Amino acid sequence: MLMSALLEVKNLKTHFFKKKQVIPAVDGMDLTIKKGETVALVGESGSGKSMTSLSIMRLVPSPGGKIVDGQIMYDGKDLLTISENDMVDIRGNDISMIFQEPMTSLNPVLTIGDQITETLIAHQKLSQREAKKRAVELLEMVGFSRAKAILNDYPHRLSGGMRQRVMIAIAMSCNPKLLIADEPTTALDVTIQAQILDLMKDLSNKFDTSILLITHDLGVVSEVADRVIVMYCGQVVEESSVNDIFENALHPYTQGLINSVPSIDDDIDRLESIEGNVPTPDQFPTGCRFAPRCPKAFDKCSLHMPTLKKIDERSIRCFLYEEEQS
Amino acid sequence: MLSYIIRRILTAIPLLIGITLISFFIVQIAPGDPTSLLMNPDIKPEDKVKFIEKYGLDDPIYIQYFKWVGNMVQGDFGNSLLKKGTPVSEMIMNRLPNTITLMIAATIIAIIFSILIGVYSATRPYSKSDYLFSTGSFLGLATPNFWLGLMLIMFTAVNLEWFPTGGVADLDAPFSIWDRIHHLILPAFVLASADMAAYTRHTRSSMIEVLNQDYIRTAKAKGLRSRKVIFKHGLRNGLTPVVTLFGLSLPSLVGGAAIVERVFAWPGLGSLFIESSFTRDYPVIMALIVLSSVFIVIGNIVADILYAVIDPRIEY
Repeated sequence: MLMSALLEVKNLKTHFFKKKQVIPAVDGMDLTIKKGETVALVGESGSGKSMTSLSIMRLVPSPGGKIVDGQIMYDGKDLLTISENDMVDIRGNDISMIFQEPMTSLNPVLTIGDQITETLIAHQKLSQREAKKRAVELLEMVGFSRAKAILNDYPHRLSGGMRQRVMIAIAMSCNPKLLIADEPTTALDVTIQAQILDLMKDLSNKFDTSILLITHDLGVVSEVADRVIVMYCGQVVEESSVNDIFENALHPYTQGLINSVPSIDDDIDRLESIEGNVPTPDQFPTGCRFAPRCPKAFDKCSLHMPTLKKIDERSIRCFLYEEEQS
Repeated sequence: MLSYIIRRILTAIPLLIGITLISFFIVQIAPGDPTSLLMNPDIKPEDKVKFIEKYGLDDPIYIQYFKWVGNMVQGDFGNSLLKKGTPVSEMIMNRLPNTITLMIAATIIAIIFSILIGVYSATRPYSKSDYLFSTGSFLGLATPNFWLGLMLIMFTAVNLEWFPTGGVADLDAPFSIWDRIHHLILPAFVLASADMAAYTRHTRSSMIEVLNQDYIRTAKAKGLRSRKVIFKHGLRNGLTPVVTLFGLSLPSLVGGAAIVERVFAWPGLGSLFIESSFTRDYPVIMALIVLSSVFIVIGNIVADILYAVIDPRIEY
């Protein structure tokens, strides 16, 4: 697989400042997305997945949040140093995003048509009429049979699945190079989930769009992702191809995540779970952040922070494997 | 939508009937009767009877009420007890344009300034300028109209001579729009001040809430310029509470107009109302009460319709 990197995130640190407290929501994140590739970003709630994606869009909630360090290289430019005006041209055009909540992500007082065409008019400099025509095509592409009628409808008349399709139509309207999907199916019914995932996969193949899929649903990961990045407490703990992860997860956290997915084949009474909760950022342990919950932790784990080590095509942040190598 | 408007107008009818009843009987309860007020005490008894018969004052009260309402529906509000019996409708029509001009000007000033300031503050919450405008709004809310009017007359009209001290136009100058606007600025600003403050507070808080909504994040993620995000995606959502407030504040606009008109010698309905109260010109008072109630009822219907125009989720 010799694909050039489309987006490279290096040592990204997004912190929140609350009174005198500093909350490192994203703490030294590295991430590479290649052309046409689907990368899944996995982790429990509060692990910094969404903040990573909002940082890439430079839409970190402000005041409060701030990107304090790092680089986001896209198309030879560092997205963190370009002007806001240049960033506006990239959002929705080169990099677009869909969100977890289809019910609230569309503006309730504007028609669907208006919300699709405004992106086209802003980025592609289309006329109102051309944009309308394109909007109908886009709606048909995401599976609306009566696309023309939908144009004049308001979001509250559509179901959650339909709204997420509209969001996808908006996100794909300018043929972006990268689509960031922040838990796009979490709020939807299971049957609708599959449809939406299929749709995203289809479109990404058709237009050679890379996808950064943020999810905590490993079922979704196995279905669509090429590569998986596991996050814990604002850091990458493991990165590998989707097959390797499911067949041979290395990090104890990843193993825990996979074991806590119910399997239809095994007949077990109790689901396995990872003991404890994700620590809040003000309670991060000094050593490995997973150490207090890790069944395989040893002395060193609670004293030092392991680094992200590359092993063949994979990366892992765990002392268990550092020992092996040396 | 149309059926809703018709329904609203129909439901307003009982309300208006109630208002006419109250204003009619309040005047009936008031001590004294027209004969003693209007006539020379030395008049001959048979002339007095003639007068009573002429005006139907010996009819039962409910007949008098129906006569009054019946005439009013036909646009006849009766005649002034003073001023040589000028028809009330004529007096009102002379004053109405002035009051409407003042109210519209005040509303426009209040809405434009409050939206601009409210949005500006909402995009920079808890900044120095936000605090400055907040303080200003509270001062505006707390300042009585008449005092603000008098102060402005003293400083900007008498001392600085920027504005005339009152009236609608220069008496000895030919008609000119600029002259009218020049006279309008101070009273309209004073009448607008309290509403402006209230609208600003509401615009600010509702915009702060709206700007944190998911769809605003979506609009930003689409790559729209921030002005478009705020005004196209934010403002229409943020305006709903302000429209409600607008409907609710109409009565105070009508009431406030009376005081402001008085302070600025503005020949409108408000000053007519105050003059008539001093002279106990009952037909005028009754007509004005009914008229301002109609204003308020219409204003509330308009606010409800605006609601549906702004927010498509509201369907009637």
